[in-house]
Amino acid sequence: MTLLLSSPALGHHSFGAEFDENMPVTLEGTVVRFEFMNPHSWIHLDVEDEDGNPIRWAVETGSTNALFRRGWRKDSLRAGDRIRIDAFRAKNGSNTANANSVELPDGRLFDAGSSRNAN
Amino acid sequence: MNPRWVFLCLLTGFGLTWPAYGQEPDLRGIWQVRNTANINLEGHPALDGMEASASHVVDPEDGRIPYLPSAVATRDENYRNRETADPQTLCFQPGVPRATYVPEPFQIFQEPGRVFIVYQHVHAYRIVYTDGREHYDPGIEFYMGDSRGHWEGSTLVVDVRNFKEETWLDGAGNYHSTALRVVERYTPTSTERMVYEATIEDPEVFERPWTIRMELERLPEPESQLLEHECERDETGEWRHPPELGGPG
Amino acid sequence: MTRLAIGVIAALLSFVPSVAAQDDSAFEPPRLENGRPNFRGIWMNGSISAAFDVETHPDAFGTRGGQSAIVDPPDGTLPYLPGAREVAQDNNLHRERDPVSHCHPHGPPRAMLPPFPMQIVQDGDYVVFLYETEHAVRIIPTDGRPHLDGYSSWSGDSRGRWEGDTFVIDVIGLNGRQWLDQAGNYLDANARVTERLTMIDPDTIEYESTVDDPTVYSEPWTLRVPLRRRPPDVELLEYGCIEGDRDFADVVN
Repeated sequence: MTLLLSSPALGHHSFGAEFDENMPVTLEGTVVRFEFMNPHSWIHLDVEDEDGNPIRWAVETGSTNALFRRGWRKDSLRAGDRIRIDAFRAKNGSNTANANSVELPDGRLFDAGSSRNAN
Repeated sequence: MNPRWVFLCLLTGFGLTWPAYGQEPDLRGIWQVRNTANINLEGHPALDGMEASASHVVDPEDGRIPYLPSAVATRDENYRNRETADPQTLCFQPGVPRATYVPEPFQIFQEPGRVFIVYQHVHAYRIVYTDGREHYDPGIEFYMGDSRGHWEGSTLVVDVRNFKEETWLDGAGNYHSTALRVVERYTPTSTERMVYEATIEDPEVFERPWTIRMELERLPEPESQLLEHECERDETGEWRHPPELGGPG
Repeated sequence: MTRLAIGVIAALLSFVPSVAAQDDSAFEPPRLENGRPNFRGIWMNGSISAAFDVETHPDAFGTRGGQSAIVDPPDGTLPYLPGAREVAQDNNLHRERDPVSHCHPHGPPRAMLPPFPMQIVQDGDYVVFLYETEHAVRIIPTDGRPHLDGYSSWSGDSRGRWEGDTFVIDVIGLNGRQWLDQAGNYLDANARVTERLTMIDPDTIEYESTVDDPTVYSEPWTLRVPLRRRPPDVELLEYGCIEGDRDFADVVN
């Protein structure tokens, strides 16, 4: 199943204030925790640096309601899952980002909540 | 035309056009409890200017909630920490059945296939589907659960599942897990009164299902109206109820 | 003589418009038993760009662009009083202050704009809007009762009436903290909002909202968006917000 998305994630409020379209990041790592909630869900994952040390990232996605209608469930991501996220980094340079899309090891791409579509 | 035929035609036409409202029991209106179940379902002694209250648990007959022995410690710890740990204090939606007996009114609206219950308390609402559709799959969880109902005579029976675990059943720390299932029965007993029963089942917390019963009173309209109950964050960032609705002054 | 008569009559008849043709400029809505148009069901804004900014605005990061939703004044620009647009611009620089991002109800007219569904309930003297976002609720009596006195709220105090097949809602009692969109356009506690809902086809309700706020705007202004009926399999989902609300900084730690 592929639910492709190229548009920014939606809160029903603006996230342009916090995240930078000029700072795209691709994060490959291991899920630590997935918080399925409003106003945003959060994916906490460990991304390894060059020395193999895990760096903790917090990645914001759309609201639970938006994700639910795109097929997400609270156990869609479990601790230990290896995933790849395309996201935009926070303007303040912290290890925080806003997700565009999330790819699972089996190749499924999850839409992270598009502002272009209905919810 | 034969007068008998005219009479029969009129009678038939009258029956066919009788409003649908007359075919479905009518629970419409603004309702509220006049008890202190929200403080403690098992009752409490007189306190803070409030009269003592008996238990609202009617089954088992001793009025005690039948906890599993392994689950009592959590309830006791909840009770000790209730002033800060009660999710209601943090403005969480109240859950079911607690939403029925928070000390604020709720309003019932009806459409074919739906009963809508709107609570003044943090403007929570429930949509009760009475058209026979299925519940959501297990694992999909809501604070207010997922409600599917049907009519038995003049009683609305509502089967509620798919709960998140982060609500309490009252302010005394009585709690549940995601395995909670509640069957409610709303029965009008007069134009001004309704009896509310709820059977609570949670095999991870209780030894067996147990039932509460209480009375609801209708508030007169149009004088009565649900007001907006909206919480605000205080200076520490915690959500608090407005002072006029029970929050810190 | 008869053929001439037939010819003349035929010629005359060709100029007579067909009496069988219907006037299809006014849509005849489905009706409830009380004769009122049946608005029951699940609806959603069809002009999502207005949720981002009610005025004309381009696509941008996190923002869907579009033409202005404002139909009056005709140039589509909010008629701000001197100094008032600067307040909106300051809001725009501080979108973290958007009350909706902190779980507060949108309030009318913004409540009609987000790309999340709403349910319209009609029961006797009541029309009720159940919004998915923030599980906000507006209960609108149509029994002619007066407004509350001195009310202050996020969702306002609404009173409804029918003008023909248009449902008209009069709203006061807003607390003045509402924004109109994500861009920081706003109103204050003096606002009086008049909404008009008219079904124009089986799956569309035309929504108009006139904002009369003399301490922010030099004249009343009106926006218009279509509300589109959602497919039959759509149900409103619970939108818990406060329960999961945390500061951005808290999430990182």
